[in-house]
Amino acid sequence: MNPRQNAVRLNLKGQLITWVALLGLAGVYVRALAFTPIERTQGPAQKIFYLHAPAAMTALMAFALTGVVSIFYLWLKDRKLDLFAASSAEVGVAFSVVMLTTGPIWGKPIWGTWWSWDARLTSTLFIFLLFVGYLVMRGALEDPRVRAQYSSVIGIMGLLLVPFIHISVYLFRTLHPTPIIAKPSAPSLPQEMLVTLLISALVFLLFYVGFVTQRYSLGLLRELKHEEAARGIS
Amino acid sequence: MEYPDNGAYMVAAYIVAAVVLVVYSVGLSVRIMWESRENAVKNWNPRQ
Amino acid sequence: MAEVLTAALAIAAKDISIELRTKTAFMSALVFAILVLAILFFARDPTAVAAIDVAPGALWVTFTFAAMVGLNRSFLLERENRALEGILLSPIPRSSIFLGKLIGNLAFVFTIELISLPIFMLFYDVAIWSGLPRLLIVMVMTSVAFVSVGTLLSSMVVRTRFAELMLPLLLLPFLVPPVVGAVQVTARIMAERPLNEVAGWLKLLAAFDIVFFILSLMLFEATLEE
Repeated sequence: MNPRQNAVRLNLKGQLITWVALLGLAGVYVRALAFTPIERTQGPAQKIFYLHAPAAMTALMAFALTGVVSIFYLWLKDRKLDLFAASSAEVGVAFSVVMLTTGPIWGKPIWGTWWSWDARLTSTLFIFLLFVGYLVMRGALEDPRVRAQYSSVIGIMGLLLVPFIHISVYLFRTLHPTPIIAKPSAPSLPQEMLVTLLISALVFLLFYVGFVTQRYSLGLLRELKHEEAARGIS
Repeated sequence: MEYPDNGAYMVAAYIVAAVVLVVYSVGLSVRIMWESRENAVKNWNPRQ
Repeated sequence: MAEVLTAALAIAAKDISIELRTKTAFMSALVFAILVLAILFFARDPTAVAAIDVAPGALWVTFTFAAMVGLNRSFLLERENRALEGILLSPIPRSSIFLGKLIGNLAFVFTIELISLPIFMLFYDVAIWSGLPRLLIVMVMTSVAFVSVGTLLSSMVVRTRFAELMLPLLLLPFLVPPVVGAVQVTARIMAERPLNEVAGWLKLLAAFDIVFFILSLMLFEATLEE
């Protein structure tokens, strides 16, 4: 079996997982909207939480994995690791978009404002922007080895930047206290809500696996194309 | 029981999330289709 | 250790003497800084916001942008005539190259800051003579943060297309903690408040300096491998 067929086959697996995840998402929608009780103080808008929180967790996991895999890339110099790091970063950016759009839609009715500079929101915004920069830089580098090295460096630095931004915003808040705002009381979530949240988290995890598999096979196909083209020229 | 009337926000968020995920998924598949065509390399002439 | 430092100082001296001969980057960064200070003075509603209220922010936004000009130049300089390859061929440890570039950039950035500080005091009418030593310490700490990350990123972006655009895109997220911290501390210094009010920020700045200096030094070798 040639590498191209391998990549195409891998993509089919990814596509299957993505389809299952899409069905799962439909299931989550039905369960969250019809079979999960409405929270009394926040009303229906609280249900945005079942999409927002899993999207946020998956996005941060994706970026963390990019950072960790980048460390291993610099150590082992395996281009598969670089391809995985890039795939995970791109999928993380996609999930961040879900998180950064559903967040303000929840914030408007609950906090009374579309955007609040709270610690988690701010650090995810900057880490999102950093990884968009990561992807842009990858696009601006031609040599695959150089691209892999540089991406790993950014990935590792991003991993260490998160705590610093988090502490900055925390310190900023304590200097300028804001009125106390309603926050979802996560630990005392009733069982039905918790189950919905867990199902949704699983579905997002499935999306992550499906997307990364597909993105990874896309990377493989691109590499093959460049190799063939290089052979064609020489 | 009475709830705050903010169902519209919920609907909006659920639509937005689904649209983002579906669009990314379709985009990924289209990019892969583009890349996996057999003659992708033959038609790609860097000197053009 | 001594030879690492000697080689580093040689590289820094080379960069500084190139800069002293042409002065192109230095003059453009300085004029740029003055222009930003002037523009930020007018970027407010004078009936609602006093100049002193925006002064700390204006100072650090100016320093950030001016530092970016200097950092962009740092490795762009070595791209001409493939000068970087010459440095790489010389029998010195890789860490000397990083330290040398870092010292050169630090000198550049700090000189720009030192010259634009009096202009800032003149424009915004802030006489912070008593707080000056403390402000200088904050400027040193923040410049080290800027330059540690900036030198590393600058060495990478020169190999990308649109290098001048890529540096701010990658560097600015890393400058969020030091800039926010520096603005807070500067505001307290200008208000003549005791520094222990901002002890948290100073610790954050120090931690950022240490973590990102060591990290950049370690990662720099990965950006050079041919």
